[in-house]
Amino acid sequence: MNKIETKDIQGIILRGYGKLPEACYALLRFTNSALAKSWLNKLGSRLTTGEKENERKSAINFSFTYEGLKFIGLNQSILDTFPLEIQEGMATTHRSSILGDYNQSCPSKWLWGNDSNKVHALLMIFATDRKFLESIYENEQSKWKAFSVELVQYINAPSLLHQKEHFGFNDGISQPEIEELMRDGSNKANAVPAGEFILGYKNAYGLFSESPSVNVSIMPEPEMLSQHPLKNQCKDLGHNGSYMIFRQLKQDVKKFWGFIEKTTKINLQSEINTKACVALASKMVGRWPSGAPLSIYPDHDPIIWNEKDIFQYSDDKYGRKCPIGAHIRRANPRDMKDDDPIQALKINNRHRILRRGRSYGKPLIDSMQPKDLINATEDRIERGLNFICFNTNISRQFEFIQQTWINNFKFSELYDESDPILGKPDLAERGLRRNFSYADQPIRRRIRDLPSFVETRGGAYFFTPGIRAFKFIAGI
Amino acid sequence: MTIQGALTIISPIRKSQVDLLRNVLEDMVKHDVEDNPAFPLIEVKTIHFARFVIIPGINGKPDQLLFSSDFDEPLKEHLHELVTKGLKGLHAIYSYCADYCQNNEGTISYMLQYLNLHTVSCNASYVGTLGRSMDQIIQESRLREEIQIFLDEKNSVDGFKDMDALQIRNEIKEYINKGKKFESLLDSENTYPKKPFVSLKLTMILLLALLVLLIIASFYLNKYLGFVIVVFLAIIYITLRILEIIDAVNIRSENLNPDILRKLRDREDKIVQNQLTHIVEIKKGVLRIFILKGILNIVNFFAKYFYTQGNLGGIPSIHFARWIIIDQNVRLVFLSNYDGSWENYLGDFIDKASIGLTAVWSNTDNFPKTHNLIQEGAKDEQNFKHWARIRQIPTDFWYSSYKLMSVENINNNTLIRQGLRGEMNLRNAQKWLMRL
Repeated sequence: MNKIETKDIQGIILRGYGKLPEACYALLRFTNSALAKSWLNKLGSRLTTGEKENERKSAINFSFTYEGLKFIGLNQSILDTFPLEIQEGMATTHRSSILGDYNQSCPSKWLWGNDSNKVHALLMIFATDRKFLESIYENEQSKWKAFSVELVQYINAPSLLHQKEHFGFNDGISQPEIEELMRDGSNKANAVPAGEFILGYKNAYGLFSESPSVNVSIMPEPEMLSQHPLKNQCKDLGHNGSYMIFRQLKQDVKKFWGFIEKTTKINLQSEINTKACVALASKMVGRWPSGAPLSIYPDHDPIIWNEKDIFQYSDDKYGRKCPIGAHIRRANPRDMKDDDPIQALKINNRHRILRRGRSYGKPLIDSMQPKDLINATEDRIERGLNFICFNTNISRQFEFIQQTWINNFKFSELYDESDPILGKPDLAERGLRRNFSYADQPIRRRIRDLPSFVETRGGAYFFTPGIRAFKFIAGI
Repeated sequence: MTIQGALTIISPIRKSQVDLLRNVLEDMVKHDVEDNPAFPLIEVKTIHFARFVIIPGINGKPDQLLFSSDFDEPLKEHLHELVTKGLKGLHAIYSYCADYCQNNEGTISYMLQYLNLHTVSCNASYVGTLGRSMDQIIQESRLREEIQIFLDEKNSVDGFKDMDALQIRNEIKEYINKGKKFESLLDSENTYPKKPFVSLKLTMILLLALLVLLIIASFYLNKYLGFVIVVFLAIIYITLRILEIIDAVNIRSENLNPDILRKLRDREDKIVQNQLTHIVEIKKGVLRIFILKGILNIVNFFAKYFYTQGNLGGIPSIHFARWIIIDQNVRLVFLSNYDGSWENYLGDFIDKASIGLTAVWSNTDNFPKTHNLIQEGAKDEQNFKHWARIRQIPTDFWYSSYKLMSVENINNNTLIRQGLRGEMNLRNAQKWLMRL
């Protein structure tokens, strides 16, 4: 088995920096390629690698968009070897239909990442506390002027209580584990080969995913890079790198709980039934606010849940415990998409992503408890999720999950539903409404015409190079 | 029970008029695929899916126009309906075809004669919604929606409180019968296709056993005959292996044309269903065409008698598919109407049906390296997808009679309708309610 070169891989790919709760993201644009490269040259030594470090107090990682690589002068013959998804970027008409970026989420309305506000690179900073984070950021920012680097957008990501996302649910629970780095006693059902997330290693098909290459006849022999696994006479620029997806998703917390409240009310005069609200919202998510899956706790929230996230859907074919269309069942259907659960899981794991996102913005209410969220008053402050994930085949992994699972109105024999939390809006003008249904006694319940609770505010596809590849890019 | 057929009509296009024809088709699509005055497909009751594709010519031959429809038999009635309702449009389209007599002012009888003349047969075809007419599919969908609305309304006031599944079923039956909208539909016989008698696996084993027995028997019959058969099979196998080893495969040397890719994508992922038109040259030599035809016969047999319940070798998303060898054994055309994304469709091919798929397409140009006809090949994931995309051509005109329905929806709707007939025990009633 190929040993994973943790030293050459950017840290954010291999770990979520759970011990560094404070984070910020700076989306950048270069305006002078020579100056940009000299800045990058120095930045290279500050990047955090994937090596284990117990006393880590902060971390810095960096990714490029295709536009950014092009701007700093990476040879066109190299640029042409990037996968089409990276070359075209996220803001194309076709991708909008895959990702569900319609109406308010349309790229033309984005804050960043569209044609009118292009992004070249992303700097991610993580630290133990806010003050420290700010000092690192200020130190970085102070250099940009001299090197003609522009700040396109700054996104602050303060830590939220108990790892919750803004709707009040524990988040980031289900993650695939890199098979080659698995510890004993881990959940085998979650094992995915490194090549699904890091270029230069074998993927779930036992093959190498498409990776950018440098032809040695065009470039002076780039000694620092490894041999390309698929092309003779080529060096592998992707080796130890990954493709990163970043989407800034605004969450309308008041709209979400308001809709739940309205739906669960028996009539207009009746009081808010918090228990019914939480039950319905949990059916939509597929987990209780504590993170406990409905598949294990179909009837009640254990409130404190720190068990392993091991369960199947094959024993819940009709969604009696966890609704078929629930968010977590769509985002990772586990073993339910085939009659043979083992085969189903194997196929399922060819569509996994490593999620590394964090929430942004101040919570609607500090406690993050559903009952308080329901009663809180609208504050008109923007908040949401910086959705970030890594994979090595964007169309087979990230886009597949979005298109075939999250946004698919016909997911698993359903008729007219998309993901109740973040699925695409109804296509009423084409005759498709967006409903949500779940099994109940004595007969199923169906909620009609779900509004959108989540809105895309910006996004881009990035390339997160390995450390040596980063230095190669900065040095040319 | 309705039988669905696959009609394919291929005609050569006049050399200089391909672009004009393309414009006519584009105009129809732009105007309204379903309801343009020249070719109002929405009025045609015998049609499930239809398409027009301009197939580029090879070896200096002219481009060809392919029309295909998935229709309700009998063919004669389908053609007659198509021609009477869409004569104006068909005339406008076929006027650009080389052997269409333009002076004819488009009479019905001439058009029928012309279309019959250019009809070609499929080498294999598959139906995911076996036995149901277009009209039945639409009616059953309306029936389901009617039941759903009834359930929603009654549910909102807790109207089913303390009822068991049988009582709820009776309520639904009563409501539907009272409406009288679906009388003839409910009277019709059960049409949900039955499972095959024996499993596919067992059949394969039996067929193989039969082959071995025949060989053994031939030795008893005449030892030379047995010997000749074994040598013959061995030669075929060895030749195939040699061909597989020496066949040059260099998929990545072929680049996707970005304009064509854009065109393909623009026509995909509109809502629920998608179309695929794929065309590839068959490898040269007698052996390849011999094997390909044999495999397509097997595919056709399995598709008709084993994959009867909307699932083709593990793929649940295909409405209709067909394989046609054209140009006197030179090219293989594959047409399909499927649900969901291209990425999912191709992924299913690789993950679930790579054996059958490789057995067919390893006989065609530049397919990923294959062993023993069925191994590897399509398993080379990214290369296979690249190969498939390069040989896909844009479908110029595409029509679906029920574009918001998936195969799974259609099949479930039939089972809902059938569940309204006759008596049921509690367990079955509970199961039936889960379909709603």
